Amino acid sequence: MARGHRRLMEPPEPEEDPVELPPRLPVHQHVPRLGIGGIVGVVLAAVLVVGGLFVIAMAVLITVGLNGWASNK
Amino acid sequence: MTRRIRLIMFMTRPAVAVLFGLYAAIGLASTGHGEDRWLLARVLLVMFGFLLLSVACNDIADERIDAINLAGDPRRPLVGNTGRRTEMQVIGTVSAVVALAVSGTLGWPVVAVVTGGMVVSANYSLRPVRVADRGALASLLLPACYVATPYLVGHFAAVSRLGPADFTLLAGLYVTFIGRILLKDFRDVRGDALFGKRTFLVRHGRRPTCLFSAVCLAVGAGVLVTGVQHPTVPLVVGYALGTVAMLGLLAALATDLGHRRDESIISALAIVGRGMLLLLLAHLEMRTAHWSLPAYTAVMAALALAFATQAVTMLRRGAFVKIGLTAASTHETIET
Repeated sequence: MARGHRRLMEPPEPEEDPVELPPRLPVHQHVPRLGIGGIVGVVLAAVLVVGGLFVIAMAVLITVGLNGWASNK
Repeated sequence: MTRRIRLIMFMTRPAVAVLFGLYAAIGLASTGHGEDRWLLARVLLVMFGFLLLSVACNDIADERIDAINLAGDPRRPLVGNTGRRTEMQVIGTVSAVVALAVSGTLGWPVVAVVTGGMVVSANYSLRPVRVADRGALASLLLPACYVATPYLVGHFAAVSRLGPADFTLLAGLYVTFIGRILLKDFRDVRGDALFGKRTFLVRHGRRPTCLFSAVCLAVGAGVLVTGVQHPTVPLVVGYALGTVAMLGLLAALATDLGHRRDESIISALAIVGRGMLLLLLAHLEMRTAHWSLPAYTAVMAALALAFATQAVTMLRRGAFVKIGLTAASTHETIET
């Protein structure tokens, strides 16, 4: 059995957070926010629509929205 | 009815759907038809059908493993108790039929690609073949299927032949995807190890996985930049910065700092990866539309800024994970 495999087969230890991260929020408290990246994305999408590039504008909006939604705000 | 709509939404896996959509849009944009919205709508419909079939097969085959890795997660209908096996079988079958029917309106090369993609994807998860248990082959075959199918559907929807530049672009996307999909296994490592799913991470451990991923991401980015038509300085700079950021994140991931920290780093890597794909798509579309260099540069810079700040937010705040529903609430959900 490979060394890495054996190590991973050991029973999981209690989870610790050596690096400080904000606590996870319950589902009902999760509020997606735009943030700076989101605002830049929305403005950029508007510029792209005006410039005639509708598809890339939608791609920017959806992707920026997904990124914002995925963060633990 | 509402529950079934939610079930389909869970099954589409937003992050994977966006990735497939971007590959398909890049494939279409590489032909110069990126702004043909009617064509793109049909391409995306085919992709969603393909995705739903793949998810249905995967979730049904991996139910026991997901019960350990993702217990109670409503995004996994069978273990989150938000859907039933028969419902997933029906949704998967109907999606496959819809995908094939719509692909028929896009020409025989698209039908051939979608059929091949579905066969590979189903055999990846389902027995007797079940490529997922075959180690290195699984790590190489699944990315090929998940990159080539959307890209080629997008490409063949507009043009029925492939040039050398297309193969290079496809190769760059493929190698980059390998680098990213290896990281997914960090989340699933406990269940994979217990059920003998010999992923790269299970076989080799954390550091070699990060190293191999770094090599794939760097090589893939290089291939993409060299293979794309009319590369520009803003695109090259954007890719160089993105690659440096990903290598830095992988260096951090190589040290075990806890499960939540791993999640944050991998999510930040995904944001940077999506940003680089959007840079490529924006480049292809703006070149086709003959945008001026200042306007082109401003858009590329704004894109890089947006994704960089979102990646930093992810690193600082962590990923949002929908886990923690009680057995009672999930039972209530399925009976609604």
